[in-house]
Amino acid sequence: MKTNLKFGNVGKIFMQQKAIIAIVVLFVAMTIINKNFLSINNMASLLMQVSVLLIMTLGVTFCIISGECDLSLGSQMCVAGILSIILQRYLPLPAILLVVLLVGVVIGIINAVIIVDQGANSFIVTLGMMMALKGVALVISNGTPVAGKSTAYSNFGSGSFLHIYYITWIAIALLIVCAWVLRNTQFGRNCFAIGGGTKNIAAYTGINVQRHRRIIFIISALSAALAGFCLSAELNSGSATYGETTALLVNCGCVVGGTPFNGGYGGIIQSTIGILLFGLLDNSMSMQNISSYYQQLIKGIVIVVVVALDCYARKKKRETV
Amino acid sequence: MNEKTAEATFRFDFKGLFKKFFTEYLIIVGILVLGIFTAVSEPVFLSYDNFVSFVRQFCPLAFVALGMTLIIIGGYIDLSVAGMFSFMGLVSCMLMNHLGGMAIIPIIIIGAICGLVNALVLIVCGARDDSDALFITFGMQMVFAALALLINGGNCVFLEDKSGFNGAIGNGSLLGIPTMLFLFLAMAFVLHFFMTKTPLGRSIHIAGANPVAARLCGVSINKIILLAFVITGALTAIGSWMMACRTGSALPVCGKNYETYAILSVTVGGTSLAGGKGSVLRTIVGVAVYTLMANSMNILGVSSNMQFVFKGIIMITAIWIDSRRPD
Amino acid sequence: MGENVILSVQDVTKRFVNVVALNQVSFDIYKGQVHGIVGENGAGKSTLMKILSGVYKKDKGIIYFDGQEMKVKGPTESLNLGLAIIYQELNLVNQMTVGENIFLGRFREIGGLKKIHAKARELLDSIGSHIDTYSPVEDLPVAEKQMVEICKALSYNSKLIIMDEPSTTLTTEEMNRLKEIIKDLKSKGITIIYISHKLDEIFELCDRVTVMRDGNVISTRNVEELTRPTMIAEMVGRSIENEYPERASKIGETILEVKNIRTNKLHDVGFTAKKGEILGFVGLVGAGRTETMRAIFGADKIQNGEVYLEGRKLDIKSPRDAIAAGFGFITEDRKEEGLLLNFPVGTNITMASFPNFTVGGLLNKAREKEIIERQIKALDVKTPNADIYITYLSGGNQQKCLVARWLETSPKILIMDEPTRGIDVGAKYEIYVLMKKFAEAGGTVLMISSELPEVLNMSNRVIVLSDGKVVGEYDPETTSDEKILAAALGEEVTE
Repeated sequence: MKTNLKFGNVGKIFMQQKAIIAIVVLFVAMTIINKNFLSINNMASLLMQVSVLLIMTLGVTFCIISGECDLSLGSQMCVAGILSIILQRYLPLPAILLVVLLVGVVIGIINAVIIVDQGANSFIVTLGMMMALKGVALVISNGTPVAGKSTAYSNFGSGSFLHIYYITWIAIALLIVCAWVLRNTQFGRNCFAIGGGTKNIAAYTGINVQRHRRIIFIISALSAALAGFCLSAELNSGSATYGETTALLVNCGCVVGGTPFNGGYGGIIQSTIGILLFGLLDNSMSMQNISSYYQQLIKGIVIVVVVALDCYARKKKRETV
Repeated sequence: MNEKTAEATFRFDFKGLFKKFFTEYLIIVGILVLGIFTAVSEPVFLSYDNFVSFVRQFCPLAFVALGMTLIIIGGYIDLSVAGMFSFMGLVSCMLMNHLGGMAIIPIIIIGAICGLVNALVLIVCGARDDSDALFITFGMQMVFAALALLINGGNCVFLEDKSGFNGAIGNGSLLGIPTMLFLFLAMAFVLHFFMTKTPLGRSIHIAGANPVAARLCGVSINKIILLAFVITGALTAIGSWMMACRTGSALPVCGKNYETYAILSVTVGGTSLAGGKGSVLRTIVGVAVYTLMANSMNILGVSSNMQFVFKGIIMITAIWIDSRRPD
Repeated sequence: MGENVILSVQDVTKRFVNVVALNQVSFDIYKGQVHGIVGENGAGKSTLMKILSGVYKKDKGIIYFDGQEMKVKGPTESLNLGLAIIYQELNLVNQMTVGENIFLGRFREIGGLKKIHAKARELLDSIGSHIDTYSPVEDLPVAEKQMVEICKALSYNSKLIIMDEPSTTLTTEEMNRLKEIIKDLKSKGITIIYISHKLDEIFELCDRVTVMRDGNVISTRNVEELTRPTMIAEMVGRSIENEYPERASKIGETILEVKNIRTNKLHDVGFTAKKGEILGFVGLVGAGRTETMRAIFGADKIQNGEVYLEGRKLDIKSPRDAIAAGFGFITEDRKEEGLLLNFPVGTNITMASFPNFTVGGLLNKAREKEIIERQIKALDVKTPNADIYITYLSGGNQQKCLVARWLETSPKILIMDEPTRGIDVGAKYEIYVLMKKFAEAGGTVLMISSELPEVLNMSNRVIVLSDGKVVGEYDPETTSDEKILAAALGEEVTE
């Protein structure tokens, strides 16, 4: 596979290498500091945490590269998770998955209509959607976490093959598929064309920009729905508190790994690197028993720094004072 | 041709107003209807006690929304106010326990400093529009929220002495009207005056409308960012202080979702998210409408979870209406 | 219509609001020829090309392409008909590879990345280029980006390729390569429309040439029938005396000295200006005129440069400093950079001059009203009142408001970038009168314009910029129009 490693923009190369270096450094440091870090248990658990995020990342990557933004994914994941648990009483597992994905599609369509057809600002609309869905999550869960009762479900969530969780396998499989789509299909290439070029370029070459944008929102909704399904399987419960900061974290993870906000650049691999870094950070902090409050503080600072650096890089490029 | 076109289009604007009534004022009308319905079905809605409770619910959010108005008019957005509110709530209680009635001064200062941090990050990294500000303030939200949890180990802080100045603000009334309201109206008046009658205030409008043109006319965008965010920090602090005075305590998550309510209020009031146009007065209406909705739903016994759903839907509707504004 | 005619343009007219961009334009293009189109900025060339390529719709007229009437609704349609255009700004997605750019939007059609790169390789080889199809476009120099664009056009089996100013940024060597390719394409039977300011190339490459001016076709002739002087004369045309007021004549001492401005685009630009003078700046698009003004005004970062006003060295780091020092800047694009469209006329006028109506830190409404009324009257702005949104005013009146805005700041130096763009003739005259009044009252005007007649008639002196450098300074009263245009085109100037 002839990959194109030249990104041209110094900032992007720096970001990407920085992420990989950071991962290596953190990994090595943790192995030294903490005896249990390199254990199979911890590694599998780390992979698991990352896997759920990764499933969501796939949708987000398509979004960012196409130049869109969907902040409602965290809440979508949350609703999907709760639904998965609640429906256990009524439906078998495969049917639940189908329903959850369908609900995701519906939400994606609503987003698509308001943003693409009505021309509203995608940040704010998805922010509002995030809030509305949070409310839905609270309503259907009645404000308390719901526990799963289906053994099939919890087996799916905690089961593993060759010491790697099923969910991780799913994530890896989807990762390969999506990376392939991004590289080898018209749709995937259109993401870059639409996100990277000016408005006219894509239109001049006959690409249907509006339709593409609508599809993007549906895809990200699907990925969030699947992620929610898997998360609740892993934890065997659903709660309205899941996914509160996930949307932000995933977006920033993608940027750190090399898929910047302005679109047209990056890919699944790059985003994965960024998410791995965040996952590793989370895991390391937990392993070191850092209180969750400090964890949140550190995460917040990391996010601000990441976005600020990206913004600053753009400032440097500008001609104007 | 010029004169005629201008006149014709100007006259047409009045006709367009009717059309506007249904889209722009839809939400306000809708909630007024809700209010009337509530008044009819639950007479307690119109009681004095409820009025007082309404006002006390209104004021803290209103302060936050005031600051948000300035930021949005200036063409930016601040998602960190919720975290700031929580943090400042705890800080307020702690300071009040140590300094009593004098605490309000350091409270405002600390709030301003929080806003200053936001502003500095934005200025240094050259944030040019609301999408940059969005992610950065979203991150700052996490930071402030974490600080709120860290500052007292995740516990509430209780107000020890509920009398005196703080108590008067929190639970006192003047001529039957809660004292909070007077404070708010004074502040709102000052801000409105600032926005409409001072060069700097008008510069905020100009910068939000067309930052490129504004810069070329000598407006300092950095100054505007500083002003808007620092004021918001200070106002958020005042709002959370008021809430702490009223409830006698501060939860580490007391500000949760305030950023959404603030943005909702500003948008419902009619200030455009695109920047440039809007006013403090509109926001007051917006907050009143929001509080009316929350109050009505409380009285009607709608579960808080359902309320959440409605609030989200209203927000999306408000944004949708905003996006349909001819620009 | 003859057998040999591949493109026949007949009576095409296009208006934008109140400006006529194309006026009954007609000409024929023969198959297999290289047909040149010349004209200055604003002659209508790009509008015409955009209509041909399907981006704009013509208001009147018929176009026949390859024997059929051309009714396209968008750029892709004309591409499929066999008409491709290579824009001066180049229409490529920078982050994507060469191969993908050539076949942008046709991934599925061609059948995958491998095939795309294979076909791209074929195309590139056919024009003798060795570019790696896997390199991202943004890494390529402009000359090679053009190769990519040419391949893109070829990939659609284009019968007619329009090249819009292809050579502005090429070195001589690269230009030679391009000439070879054009000759090669011609030998394959592909017709080329070649738009360029470089008359050398026109004479060398073209078989026929159409000269345009002010939206009209002045002539279409075989290149043998043309001489350089006639071509330039037709491009410039004769300016009508009544269109412009008499030149301002109260010129005083040197008031402004600009030295060694260096930025990414400018190489040591410098000039002087006198009090009461109208200094015209001429040059092609991209020559650096606006960049120079923005640098002086503190709107762009500069690497080097000094500005002296009235003998004193200025330290300008932002537009604010420039305004305080006595500069005013009416920008090129009034909609994007100048006006607050949804704000009242009054606010637009006063927004740069707060100190004039601020009393005790507060805005004084009475004084503001007075200022607005005074300016509206003085400049004869046609508006029913000062409260309507400025977007409802005509272009000419909007521009007058901008002039009012800056006059209110009592500047010593007023920079006007394309002051009469998009304005009808009557309003143009009024702006010229305003300029003259300002100059005669002791102000200095730095005027950038792409309309040569305007610059030549209004300026006391003309400075010519090319490629980010000052290449000449002329007195329009004693120098021929042709000579100045020639200098702007980068020609060797011969008397």
